[in-house]
Amino acid sequence: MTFPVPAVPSGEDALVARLREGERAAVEETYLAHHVAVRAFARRLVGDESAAEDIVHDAFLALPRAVRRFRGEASLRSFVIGVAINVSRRHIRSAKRRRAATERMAAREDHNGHAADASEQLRNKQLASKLWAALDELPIEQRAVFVLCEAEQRTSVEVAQIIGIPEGTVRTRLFHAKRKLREKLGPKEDL
Amino acid sequence: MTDELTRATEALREISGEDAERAAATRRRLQQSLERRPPGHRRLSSILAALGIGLGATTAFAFATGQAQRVWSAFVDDPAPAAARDDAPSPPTPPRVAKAEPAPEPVIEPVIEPVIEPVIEPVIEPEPVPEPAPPARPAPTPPTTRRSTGVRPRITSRPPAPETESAAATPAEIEALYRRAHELHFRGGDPAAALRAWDDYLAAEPSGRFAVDARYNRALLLVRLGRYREAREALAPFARGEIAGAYRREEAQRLLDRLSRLNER
Repeated sequence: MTFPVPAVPSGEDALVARLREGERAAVEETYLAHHVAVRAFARRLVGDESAAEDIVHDAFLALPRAVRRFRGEASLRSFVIGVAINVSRRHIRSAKRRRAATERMAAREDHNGHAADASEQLRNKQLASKLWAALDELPIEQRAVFVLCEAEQRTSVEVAQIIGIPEGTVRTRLFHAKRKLREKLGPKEDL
Repeated sequence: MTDELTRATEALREISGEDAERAAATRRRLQQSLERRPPGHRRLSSILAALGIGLGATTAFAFATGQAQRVWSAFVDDPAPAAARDDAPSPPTPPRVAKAEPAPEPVIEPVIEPVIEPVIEPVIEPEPVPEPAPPARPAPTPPTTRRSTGVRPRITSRPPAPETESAAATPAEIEALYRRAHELHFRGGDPAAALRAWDDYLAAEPSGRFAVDARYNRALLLVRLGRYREAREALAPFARGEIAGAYRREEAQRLLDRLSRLNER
């Protein structure tokens, strides 16, 4: 039994056509419709807000050119996220440096007597920082698959469409990513 | 039972893309970038369409006025193999381009990866604010008269550049200047040299594509060099959101806050 490929919503067809023509207003419309999802993905991927904004900017800027490859197998939003993955390659290293700098500053603040906030939010932030540091050691292909599958809880079918790889490859990459991340994050802990 | 990875992943899930201020800033930046970018694809299509129409019209005119037949006759009356001449010349078939059809889609290889930036990677790295204490070097006196340039405020600590330089510098020279500054900034260990290199680049291309990056980078170098007053002046327009759609606004503001705290101590 085969499952039908989700069709592109009809309203998107016209928008995609306008994007292919390089219409600026179409890029803006696409931005307004999808920037939140792309930004969330970029933040989860690189862990730095400025770098995430750069990725969002670059992804939408590249869209009129990239959209020529769009075949409508997935939604336009998924396609833009795929473009964001491609452009993120050049921002990951700078994001890593920025995160390191921010952490050093935060450590100094704590050292200087500013009370460390032991809230849940801070704990989450620290956990996320550890995960990003571990993700930095992964190739971008595995990193993106991990973020899409685990952090964004997308299905392997959807991730395969976003990245443009077979579903089996998605599962393989995820498997290796999780194994490496577990090794880096340390032993299991009981709560 | 849950492990560290699961909990860390849950932490990642809580991150949201909702951020009205950043969204608006990035939207403005995107608009500016789109305005700067020439619509290459459409332009090429238009050129090809115009060429196709022009060629079609010319050919049609030639047939209508009999010029095409004359050209054809001159061509077939040329000395040629006898066998070829024995056959009566068939009336010339109009070339395919004779119809004034819209030009075909330009043949452009689809790119695998979107290419947005040129080869040079304009990476901006906010460096950690240096430790307080190094006594501020005697800074060059900022010019007393500020030129009002509207969108891009001048940074007062920039050394004056000869006005003719920007006109003289070729794109290759400008690129070399940018590369050198980038190299010194991110890989060199001499902030003063990097600062000079950014100044050289900005002198050559004060409103160039990477000028905003260059200005921000030199502001960071001023911080690193302990030239805090100049650094504050250089960072202020960024913190006010006046540069390129609030470029690095929050980072600049954070640095300014930190600089003011250093002053208080």
